[in-house]
Amino acid sequence: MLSSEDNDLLTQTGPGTPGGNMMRRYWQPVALAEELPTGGAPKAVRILGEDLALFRDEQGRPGLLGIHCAHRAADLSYGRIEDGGLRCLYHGWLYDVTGNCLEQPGEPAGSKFKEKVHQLSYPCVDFGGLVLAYMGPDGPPLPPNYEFLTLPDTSRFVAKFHHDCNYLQGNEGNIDPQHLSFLHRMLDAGDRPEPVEGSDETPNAYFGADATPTIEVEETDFGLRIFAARRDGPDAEYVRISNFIYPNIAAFPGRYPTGYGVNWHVPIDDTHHWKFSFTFDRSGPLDQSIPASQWLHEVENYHHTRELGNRYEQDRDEMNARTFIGLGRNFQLHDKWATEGPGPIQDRATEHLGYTDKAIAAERRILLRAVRTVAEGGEAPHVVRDEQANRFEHLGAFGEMVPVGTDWDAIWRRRLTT
Amino acid sequence: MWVPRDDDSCWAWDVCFNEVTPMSDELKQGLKEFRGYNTFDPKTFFKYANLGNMWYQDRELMKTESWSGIKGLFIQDNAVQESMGSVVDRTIEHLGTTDVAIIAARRLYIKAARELVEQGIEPPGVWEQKDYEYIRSEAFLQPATAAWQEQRPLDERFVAGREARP
Repeated sequence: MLSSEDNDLLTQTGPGTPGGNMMRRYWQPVALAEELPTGGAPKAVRILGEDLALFRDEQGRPGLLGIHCAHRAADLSYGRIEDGGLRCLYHGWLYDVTGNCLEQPGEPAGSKFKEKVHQLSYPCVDFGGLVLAYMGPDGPPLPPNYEFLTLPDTSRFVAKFHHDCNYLQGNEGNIDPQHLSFLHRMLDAGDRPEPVEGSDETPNAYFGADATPTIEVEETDFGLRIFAARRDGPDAEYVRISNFIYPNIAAFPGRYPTGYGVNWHVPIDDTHHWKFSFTFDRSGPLDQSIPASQWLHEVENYHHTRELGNRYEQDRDEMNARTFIGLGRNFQLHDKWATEGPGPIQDRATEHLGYTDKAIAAERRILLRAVRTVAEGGEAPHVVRDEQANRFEHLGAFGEMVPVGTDWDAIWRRRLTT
Repeated sequence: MWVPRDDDSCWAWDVCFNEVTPMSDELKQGLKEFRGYNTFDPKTFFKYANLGNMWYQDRELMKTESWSGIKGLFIQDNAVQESMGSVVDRTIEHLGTTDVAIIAARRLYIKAARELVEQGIEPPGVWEQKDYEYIRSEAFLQPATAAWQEQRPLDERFVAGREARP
């Protein structure tokens, strides 16, 4: 349960807000790579409550500018990409990817007015199948070398999904291990027939068998490490390790045992967000059509066709024998239902958190601490500016069957590369 | 002519006329297409090309026949004007040499509004009906060294400072 002041600190991420100042210390995705091909059109994007024009210049460099032309505020996302930058349609003012004004055709020859005009711009990079932007002060930190971003594109599948609610609701759904026993539960075998490492049973069987996992949380440099253990008889337990990563990312065991899933919840504004979802297989190229067939089912132009307006097309017959919730088998849709339910901005003053919300309580504590640290002029946690520090072998998610009594920290330490 | 409907919407009136020659049907049809008259629902006046569909901007067309990729003079104006936002924030502008008329017009409007409210002075441009006939707008070629103010002097009716009607 959060007071309304604390809720505002985490949910309000527009320019000048304490939450927004904290979020802006980190690189954030503004688009999938596929949305910004060379030679393609500029895109109007809204991120963290700011309206911006994203484009790729003729040299292939991504640029992110304030959407309103510095002249008289026309919309640059309609502009022509030519002559070294983006040219506004109204009077032809031309800007490069860093916001320098290169030409003002109507001004007299020799005029220096263009040197006095600088369009708002944020640095961008292509990384990990995304276009990332840094909207904070002091120059950008290093883009983080998370495994899911650095591995080859052929080993990764990434998609994005629009949500009609605040980003924090989506963020918190990822670090809530117990909902797997309910929300995503398939009453039949579902689409994950592979057994858990060290066992003959599927993950789905474990979620169904044990709805009260033991949950432990430890704080790390990157955020939180979360353990959820489900018993299999008196001697063995299925342990899942997931991560919360500052400020809006979660990693959790996914489809591929030699990989994991990631959700990254990026505010559009305070009542909408984009969820970027990744799955990857470090053992080699993956067949993109397999995750696509589940996640992109009933999704058009990055929006689910099932939504609040049609009550997510819940099917009560399906609830009898096939799925617990009657919303099909696209887990993305299940999460959308759950996260939009509280409304556009969840009022956390009326919650009743229980045992299974341990990780959420911890996440709120560390995020509020980060907001306050930044507000007081301090450094945001887990912002990497040193090449030596830009490695995260200790960050990752997986599930494993272990004997009861195993030290859970030993489970992930065993997997560290030297 | 731009007539406020409320603070974030307006009606735009576009009038083309020829004092000398009646307008043929072909000419009218050509004007409709060029200016973009036939692009709204005749019952609701709702524009087919609008903010929701980015005024049908066509990037292929931009490479060949249309600099903006948007068809229709009026539609092109709509696009740059409406995409500024429903009430543009003028505090973020950087006006240049080509904006001198806009700057002058804003001064006139603000002065007229203040004088009306504070002193009850009637705004300029309110005349006897017959005077409006003498307002002219034209385009012409002149020698490069000529002064356009002398080539087409302003009718004395409209010289600033003319007294308002009692």
